[in-house]
Amino acid sequence: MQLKLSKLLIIFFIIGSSITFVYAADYHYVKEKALILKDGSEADKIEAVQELGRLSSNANFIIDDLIFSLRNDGSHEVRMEIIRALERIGGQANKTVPALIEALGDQNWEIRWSAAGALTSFGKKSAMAVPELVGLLRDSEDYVRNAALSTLGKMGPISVAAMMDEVSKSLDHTEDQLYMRIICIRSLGALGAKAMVAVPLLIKNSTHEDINVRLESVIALRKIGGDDSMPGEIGWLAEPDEMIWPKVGPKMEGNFLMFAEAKQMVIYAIVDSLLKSIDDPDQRVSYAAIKGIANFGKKALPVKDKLVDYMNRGSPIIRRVAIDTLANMGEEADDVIPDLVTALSDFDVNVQWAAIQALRVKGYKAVPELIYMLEYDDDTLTPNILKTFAEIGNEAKGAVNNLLIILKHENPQYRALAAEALGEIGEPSRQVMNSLESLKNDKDRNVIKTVEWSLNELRIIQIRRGNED
Amino acid sequence: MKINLYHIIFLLVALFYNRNILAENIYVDLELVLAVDVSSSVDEDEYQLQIRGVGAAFRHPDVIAAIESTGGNGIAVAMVQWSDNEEQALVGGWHIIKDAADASEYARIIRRTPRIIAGGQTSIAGALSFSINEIKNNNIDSGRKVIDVSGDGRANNGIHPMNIRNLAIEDNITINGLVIINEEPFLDGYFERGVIGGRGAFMMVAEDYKDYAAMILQKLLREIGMPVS
Repeated sequence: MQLKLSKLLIIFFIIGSSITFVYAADYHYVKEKALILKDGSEADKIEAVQELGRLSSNANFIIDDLIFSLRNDGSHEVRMEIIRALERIGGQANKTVPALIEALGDQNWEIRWSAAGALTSFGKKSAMAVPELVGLLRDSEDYVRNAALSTLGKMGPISVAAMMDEVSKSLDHTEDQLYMRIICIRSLGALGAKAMVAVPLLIKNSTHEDINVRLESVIALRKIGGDDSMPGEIGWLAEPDEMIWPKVGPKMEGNFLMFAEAKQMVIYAIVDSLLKSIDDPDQRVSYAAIKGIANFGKKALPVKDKLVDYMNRGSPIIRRVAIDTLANMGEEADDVIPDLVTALSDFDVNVQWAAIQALRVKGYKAVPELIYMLEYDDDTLTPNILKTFAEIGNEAKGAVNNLLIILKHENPQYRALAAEALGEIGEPSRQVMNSLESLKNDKDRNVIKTVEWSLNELRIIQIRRGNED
Repeated sequence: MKINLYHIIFLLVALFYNRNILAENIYVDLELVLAVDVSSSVDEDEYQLQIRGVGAAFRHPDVIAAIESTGGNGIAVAMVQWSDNEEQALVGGWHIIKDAADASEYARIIRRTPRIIAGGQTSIAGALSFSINEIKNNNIDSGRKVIDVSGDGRANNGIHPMNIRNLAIEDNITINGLVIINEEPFLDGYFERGVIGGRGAFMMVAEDYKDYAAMILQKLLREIGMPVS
């Protein structure tokens, strides 16, 4: 026992020494890089800073040196690298965040841009930067404005009030003011459920006279309503000071179910607003509204007939998004399968693809209608039906006999697609294998290649099933 | 060391059995890497929408027509899945596409492509470095080399993509972007500034993964059909 204990001690000693050695090596390495920051050439400094950034939190103790150089180095390239390194090292927010805030006021736009982006990494710890970031939304440089907005959008509820304030300001019809409103609306959308408190304001803006304000409001409502986060997940209960949700009453506090109920009420308000926006005279707003409704699945069922109508008479982009939305409505919208199959013959290829994907979601339920429509030998419809069988896969096994007939079709494209669908369906019956084998010497190269692929797939399935037996 | 007859015979035999040493590179009209984001922000449905979208695009008659009219040598395509700085994978190798049969075959391969990388952070620089390396070491030559990187988030891992983008430009590789703005609404500006670059570089924006198929189709048509913007 004594011997074992001594062995154990030796092992601990070796591990301990190794850790100390590695740490010491790291420490000296980092210090060495810090010296280069003081005396090196511009290229050496950039390389050293990049190395420090790669060390991530291991270079934490060098933050003071980096901040000093950020303030005093003459090269803006070096300073940009320092900001990136500080972002990656990530520690000591009490020192780093003020230094980055200082950099937000730099004369060089690339420094302002880098600093605004770097603050993202500090989350709520960068809350003190909100006023400066809001100020940067008016920056002369587009990249800086976008970076500030992106960071505000990621900071969470802390920035909601600031942005709502900007959206509420009356427009003096200058381009700058309008731009501010638009980008703040976009940022509120980026916050998702955390910006739930802004919903009434956004609904109001969704009927604004300016098309871009309406469009961004609809998109923001869609993002807020489509965010599945629940209050607990968004840190709402833990941080009552943060303004995320309208206070309905004292009973709600701490009651998760009632929060969910309140959220539901807000979502209905959003759906109602999006429904009104579908009829917007501008197609972009209409598109955004329909796309938004797709986020609400069954809750959007009342609008099903309207969507079918849009699917048949809207522009290609509206038809496509209407199909996506119908596909998301679940089994209560299964009665639209014939409309989806008809959409396979749409003249726009993206609409056709949306219909194929929607029918894939419907699975075996779509197969009878697809088989029925095979009777119409149509250059657009038939290949798309065959592609749909391939996309549905094994659930389309009810179509195997029809596919065997199409393998003999005079059109090589049909033969190839039927062979491929058989491979995807994966039912290697003797009849299927023999029919495919008979096409191995087809005159069309694509048919031959597809048949080889399908046979290979089916043989793999045969082997697998044989092994299982 | 003396070189005797046995050494020479051994060398000749080795060369005979390993013809790649002697083989010349294949020449195509375009080398295209499709670098697909599979970081943690991309769920399984979104991954499926991406690969099915790519597969559908390669079946489109306009894409096939564009490939057939590039110059007769076809295009070489490869898909790279990527997430953080250590996670990239070339899936299914390089494929030469010259006609509809090749394109259909590639579409089938893509549709069956499993997700090799399960998630991770986002290193666009890692994706670009890996893709550049694949282009340089694929034994294929071409007049145009393009990396088509799609993603839904800023890099939060690895070095800034701008550094690698500049290396790509030095190697005459164009980087185009397909930005999915479902997570970060201002990502297009980030890609424009720090990711895309090179001769005729361009970027397209998809609102979400449901728009991916429509966008990748347009993008491929432009990439294959337009040598210079």
